Amino acid sequence: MRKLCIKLPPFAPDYSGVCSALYELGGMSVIHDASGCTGNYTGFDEPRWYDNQKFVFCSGLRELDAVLGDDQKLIHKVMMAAEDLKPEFITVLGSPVPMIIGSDFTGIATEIENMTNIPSLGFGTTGLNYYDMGISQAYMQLAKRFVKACEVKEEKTVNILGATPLDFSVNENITDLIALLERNGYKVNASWSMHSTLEAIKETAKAEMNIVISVAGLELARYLEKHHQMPYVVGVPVGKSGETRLIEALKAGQRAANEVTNQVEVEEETSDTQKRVLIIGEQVLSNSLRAYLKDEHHMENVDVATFFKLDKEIAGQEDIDLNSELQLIKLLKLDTYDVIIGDPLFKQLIPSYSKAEFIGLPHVAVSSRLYWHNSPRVMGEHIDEVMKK
Amino acid sequence: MRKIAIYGKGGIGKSTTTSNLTAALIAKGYKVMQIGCDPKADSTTNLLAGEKLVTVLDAIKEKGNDVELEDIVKVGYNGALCVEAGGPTPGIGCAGRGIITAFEKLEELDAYEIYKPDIVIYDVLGDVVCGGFAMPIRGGYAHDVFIVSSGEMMALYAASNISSAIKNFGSRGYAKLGGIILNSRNVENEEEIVNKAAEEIGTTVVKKLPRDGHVQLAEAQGKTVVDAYPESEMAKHYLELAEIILEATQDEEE
Repeated sequence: MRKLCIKLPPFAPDYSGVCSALYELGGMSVIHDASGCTGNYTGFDEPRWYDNQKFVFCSGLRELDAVLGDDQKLIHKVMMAAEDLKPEFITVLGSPVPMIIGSDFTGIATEIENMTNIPSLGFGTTGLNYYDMGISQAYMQLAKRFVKACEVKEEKTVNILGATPLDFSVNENITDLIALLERNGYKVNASWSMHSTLEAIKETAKAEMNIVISVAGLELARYLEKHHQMPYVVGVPVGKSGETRLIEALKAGQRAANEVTNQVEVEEETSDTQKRVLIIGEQVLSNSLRAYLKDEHHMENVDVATFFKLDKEIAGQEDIDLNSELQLIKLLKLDTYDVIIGDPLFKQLIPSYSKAEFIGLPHVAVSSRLYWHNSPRVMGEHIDEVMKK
Repeated sequence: MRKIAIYGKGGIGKSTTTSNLTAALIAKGYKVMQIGCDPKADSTTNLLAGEKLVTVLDAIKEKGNDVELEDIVKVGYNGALCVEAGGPTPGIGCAGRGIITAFEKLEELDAYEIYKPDIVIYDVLGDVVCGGFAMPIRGGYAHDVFIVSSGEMMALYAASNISSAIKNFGSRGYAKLGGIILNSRNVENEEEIVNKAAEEIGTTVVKKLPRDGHVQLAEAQGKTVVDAYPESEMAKHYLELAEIILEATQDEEE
């Protein structure tokens, strides 16, 4: 029971991550469930669903289908839908019940592909892992299946890895990033996976470099580095200083944008500089926010805590891998932080005796539709607005 | 790496045959990992001199995400890499799902990459009763399946069921049926009966193992026949089986 969430909602699961990563690429996703999981994704994890519906379906799994493991029923339904809709590719993915009965999604996808001649991907998602793992799985299958080899790289061309509304909402965040890159003479080749097409994804290897903007894009970046000789930079251009860091890192071909020496003039030291800060959120954005606080606010004592993947290679020594709501409650009870930054839903976990200042930074994977229409812009100087608030 | 699954009716002698096959393959210079897929966790007993090992599922129960390969892979007779998937307490839980969880853990820990066995043998409980017990013949696991059977009706019935499961997965490009290993029970006209059944299933009997008292004598010592009585006729039969299996399977790059 230690992992029970009493105050926080369930975070976006792996099947939402897969669907979100593939949403704009012209495929058809079928979640093998009774409808709760599909409803959870379309209703609570997919801000684009309301204005721009794509082919996402529920298989309508029923008790007897599960008991009998009737894969043919699912395969038949998918084939019927594919015949009508003619998607670019087909995705079948799991939920908790198929996990229990051991449904073989790789095999099911192979059968569907053999029958329809449409590229088909199977994901053994369970609903028990978080969205970042699902995005990562989707990226890896896309890369292995679709990315074409390209020996000659296009100069000053980059890809963005790890862009989904679950981390960046549907405001101008990603277009802000693309605009920044273009202002600095870079062309965005493929954006994994917002504002891009499957065709662009296939041409990923044409670019000179990859920019990883969320932890879900890291495995793909490492794969592309190994198999397509593409270096990568990790970081979100948070604040003016973050923009400089990213561009300098791209110029230098450096791996971690946070390691680039900052060139931006900073404010004079104030009492704020002694404050201890805790950022609770997705690791890459949180790391970039930490770099911004150091560069522009002289704050040196900044820790990152995350419920999602904490990649050791890019983690600070004191960073915290959160395993449960209880762990975060205990951490906040120590009252050792002066400033806490995170999704507004985390605020309720701060004890009443604490004088810590809370800065809300909505995260769609945590608070879903509660804040997704007023998610703040975080790129460049837009972050200053969030900090002022 | 060659990946082989051994199926067959419960009590037909799968684990005895598999352990002796492992010992025989090791005698021929191969590095072998034997993975028991039965909640009873007794597949590798004769390779471990009767010593128990910690099953994958027990290790997960005990250590959660902190399980390491050393916790679940025990080195037995002549370097045999022994693993038991384990399962729930009898009467509760889901054994099939247990197999899946155990396999996922082995993958997660990169067991095949780290130990780099030449041959992996999955010794699978009885029949392919559900998705979990089909796991060893799915993509990425065994490439070849051999069924242990005697001339008894129920053993042949199970063999037929297992063969159907393999055929059902045919369109997914999974494991192929390598043949039947006849573990003799001295049933009247046994060879003829099993040959006929094999023909109906669309396969062949690859090897007949005679009934021999050395098997029980070796088991009483917690050993394989290949280990305890290497000069016996029965040990020679197991070495011959190893040769046949090597010829019938291919070393496939991962």
